[in-house]
Order: sequence, then structure tokens, then C-alpha cells
Amino acid sequence: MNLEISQHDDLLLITVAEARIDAAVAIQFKDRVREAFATPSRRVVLDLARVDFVDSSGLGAIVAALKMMENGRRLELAGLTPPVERVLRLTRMDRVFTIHKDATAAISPRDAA
Amino acid sequence: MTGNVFPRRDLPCDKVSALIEAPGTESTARQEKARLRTRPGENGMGPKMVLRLHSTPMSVRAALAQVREALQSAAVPGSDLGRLELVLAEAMNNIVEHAYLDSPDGRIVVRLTRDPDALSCEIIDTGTAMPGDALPQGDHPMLPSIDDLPEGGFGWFMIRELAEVLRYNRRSGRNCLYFRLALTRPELAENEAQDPARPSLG
Repeated sequence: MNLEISQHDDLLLITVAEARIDAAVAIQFKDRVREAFATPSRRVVLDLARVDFVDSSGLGAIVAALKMMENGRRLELAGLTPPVERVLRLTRMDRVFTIHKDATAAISPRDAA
Repeated sequence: MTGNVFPRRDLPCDKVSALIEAPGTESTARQEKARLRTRPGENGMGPKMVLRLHSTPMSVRAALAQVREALQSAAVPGSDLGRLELVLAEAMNNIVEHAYLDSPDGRIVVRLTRDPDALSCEIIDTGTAMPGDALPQGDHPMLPSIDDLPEGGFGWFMIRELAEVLRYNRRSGRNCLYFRLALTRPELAENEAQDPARPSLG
């Protein structure tokens, strides 16, 4: 499970460099994300542009990541591909996350939620 | 609802014993790659496709990749493929996790049939039965406060949302799950992409 981490002012961008977040990697994903969250920042954005498949285990891991947030930080999502968007919409989890079109939109101050 | 929507002789999940007990599968028991047998048809995928795999998350991945590849070359629209992949993944993950309790030694057989307007699928395993020998309700887990958000329980909800027909039976120590997904008519898929307002020619 490869994550690419970068900082943009007060925003921590975590890019998932994998095509799938599924039952095979859900636990690994949670562990790696937990490590990444240790970097302090005001906002955290999970960029899923390269992810083309999320199953219920993967969705559960993303929700677990949201619940790891502390100190008023909120996990935001960016770059949902159509299959990932479908899973979030179907489970109504799209109402729980702030969702940006892509990482650039998330970083742009004008897009700040 | 337990009403029978199929004529008795066509009931899915009836002729599954030979599939899972077929000799010769032991030799490949440790292979992570699911075995795929296709009978090529005019569109690359024959009327039936049978996959045999072991009960591990990586085998499930491999099986899904093979289904995707076969259906892509059979020109099945991407959104239909996405729905099928999701239902198949949830059903197989459920078998790995609950029927075989995460033991890698269980066997799963997937039999996929492509009709002109639908994909139907039987998934057979010899693991533990569903509780009460019945399909889980698959209600949507509620969305309360963030701290109480569910981290699971979406699998059956999604299967029930996406599958058009869904059946389960337990017979002679075997579970069989059957589902059917309607295929998007190609002319509709095309119109949707170009101009959603344009009436379909069909």
C-alpha cells in the first residue's frame, strides 16, 4: 500500500498510489494512513484519483481514517473516479465527506470549504 | 419473499455439485491465480465462464481481474462492469470472511453467464451456511455522528442495491448465491455519454 504524502501550507495531501482499496489491503491502508496523519496540519485531503476500485472493506477503512482525525481536523476526499464515486453515493457516505473535484481544487484557497 | 421466479428445471444453483467437486483442482490448490475456463463466443466471452479460486483476498482480486478482462473484450459497458465487479467482490469477500472464516483452504466456484441483456452469476462454496440459511437483510447502517459511523456492514447493502435478482440456497453442505444484473443497452449508454436529453433509438 503506497501513499504519497506532501504538504501545501496547512494542508496535508495524501495521495493513494494504488489502483485498489479492497479487502486485501484495507488493514494496511488504515495503518499507513494512521502514520501519515502524525504530520500536523489543519486540513487533510485524501487524493483517490488513481484508485479505480473500492469495496466495502476499503470504504470501511476510509471511514476508519475519518474517525482517526483529532484536534478538529477533518478528512476531505479528492479525485473520485466513477467507480469510487458510485460506492460513496450508494452508501450515502458522500454526505459525510467534503469532496473536491481533484487535488488541485482541494489545495486552491478559493475552494476552501 | 421466497417465491420461485424460475421454472423448477432452470433453478439456479441446482447443478453445482460437479463444479466444486471436479477432480484435478487439487493440483492448483496453492495457486493464487484463479483458474479461468472460457468458451470463446463471437464477442470474446462465451455464454459461460467458470472460475475456481481459493478463499483468500488476493485470489478474489485475481478472479475479479479476469472477469473484468473477459468482459472488457466482450465490449460490456464500463458502468455495467463496475456494478458486476462490486457485487462479485462483496459476495466473494463475504465467503472468504464469513463462510470460510478467513481460512485460505476453502474453495469458491464462480459461474458467470452472459445473456444478451443481462449478466447472471452463481457463486458456490462449501463453507459455513448463512445465519438462518437466509440472505442477510442488508439494511443500510445508519449515519449518526462521525464517531459512531460504521466501518463495515455495507457489503450486503450494496449487493441488494445493485443486483436485480438475488437468491441463496444451502444444499448438501454447499452455499450457492445467485444474482443477475441487467446490462445497459449499448445505444442508451452511448446517448447518455453524448447527450442525455436525446431520445434513444431503441
